[in-house]
Amino acid sequence: MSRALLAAAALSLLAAAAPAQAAEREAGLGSFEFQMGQYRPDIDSEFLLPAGTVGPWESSFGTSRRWLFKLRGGKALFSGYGTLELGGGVGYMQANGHGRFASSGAVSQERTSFKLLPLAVDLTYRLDFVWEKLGVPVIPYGRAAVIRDVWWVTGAGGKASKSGATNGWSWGGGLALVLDFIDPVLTRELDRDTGIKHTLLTFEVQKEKVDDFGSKKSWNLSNDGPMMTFGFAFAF
Amino acid sequence: MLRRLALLVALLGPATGLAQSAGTVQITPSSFGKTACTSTADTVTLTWTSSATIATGDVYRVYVSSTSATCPTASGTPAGYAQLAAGDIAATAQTQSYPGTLTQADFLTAAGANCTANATIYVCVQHWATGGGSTAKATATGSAKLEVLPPPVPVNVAVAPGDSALFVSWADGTANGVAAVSYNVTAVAQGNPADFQTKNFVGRTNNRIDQLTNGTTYDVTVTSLSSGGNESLPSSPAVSGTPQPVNGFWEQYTADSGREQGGCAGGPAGALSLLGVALALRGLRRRS
Repeated sequence: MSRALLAAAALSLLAAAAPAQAAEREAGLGSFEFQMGQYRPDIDSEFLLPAGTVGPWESSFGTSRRWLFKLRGGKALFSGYGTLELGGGVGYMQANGHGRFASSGAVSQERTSFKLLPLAVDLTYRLDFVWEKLGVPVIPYGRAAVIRDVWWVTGAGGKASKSGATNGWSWGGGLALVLDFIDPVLTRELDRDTGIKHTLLTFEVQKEKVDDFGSKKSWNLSNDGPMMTFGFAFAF
Repeated sequence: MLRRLALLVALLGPATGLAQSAGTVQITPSSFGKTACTSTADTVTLTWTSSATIATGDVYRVYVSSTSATCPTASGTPAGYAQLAAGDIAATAQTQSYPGTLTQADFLTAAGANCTANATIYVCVQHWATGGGSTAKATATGSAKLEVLPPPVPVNVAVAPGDSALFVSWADGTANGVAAVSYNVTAVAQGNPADFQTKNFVGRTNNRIDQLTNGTTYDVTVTSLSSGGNESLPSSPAVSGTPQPVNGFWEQYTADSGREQGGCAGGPAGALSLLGVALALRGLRRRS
């Protein structure tokens, strides 16, 4: 948790470090993003598995990763060299697999599923000056978020087994390719007609820690590696 | 001169409305099962639309047949048809229904259906002007199916255990001209016929039959049903299966002594984080 707060504080300081530039830039309203990435929770990591055995996640859902989709919106707080945003987002992921017979452990035809609805509140700092002042169409950005993963598990025959929520945090950063340079005229028209100032293609890497901040009564819903996502963003 | 006049009438006839155009008869239900042959409780509704306009004194005559699809305009009972009991029906509208109650048994008997083979039942409605004449003003036709044969007996029945359930799959038997539109799957506990479940599944040849008891062995049979409701004999021999407890993901997780308890845990750190966000949003609102 302390690392998350430190990351958020660092972003805030970075934003506040350039007050002189703030007056030169028009502060935006915020942004809207769609992201997608592949996800596999690190649930099995809590088990000490003998060689040749697998944990409950892999046993039920296999080793493949599932697509996780996210929508995020953010409000610009202030602008310096870049823009600091306070944002919120929601996502969805579903894994379907087969249950196993209690007696033999063999795979059955009964289906079991895990559904995840990740909610997040984040602070994002986007170095817009790289594009707006230097003309380089790749904007770096950093992001720290507090996460609440709401989840449901259904068992054999679709009966509800368990539901709950697990809290955590994430931090990371990414690069946003500014698509405005492809057609500046169209970009100005889009701004005039819709208020969209920049259209961005994003690639982001995040480190997650979603285990109720180390609680001994929680499983680990962090992605089992750095979470890589890509998507679109519109800055207003 | 007469030849030219006849040619002119032939050419202009369609444009002047002299030509006969067939209307339609809506028969409800459109498909009859075997039980309809003796059913006096279930009724038939006939609604037709004539292409001719209504004049005072016009009548409709309704005929049924199980052999002839032709609906002639000539006077007299059409070949292969029998007139329904209502006789001449006063025509009050171009779209009109058969008056009174017409039972399915009376309808099929009048049509001459022998109820031992599948057949098509035809309805012919003639629209006659006052005083009759030699030709009806218009006709309307419709048809319905009589299915007395069941679909083929399902084959290749296979059963796999589920949790308080069995997964059953099957295939249609050798085609006999009657399509199966749904299937009844029945599971009967061995040695306890009172413990059984029957489920109807539409349009698919595999499904899950639930509400069974784990550890009890059930004999499973499948029958097929036609659109007319005729049911085949059960598949033979019965295939047995025994439901068994199945661990879903959560059951496997807890069986492996997983830490998570479920519910909305979060701990003080989570609560503090959410509180911080709430305060930040409040600050924003004040500034704006």
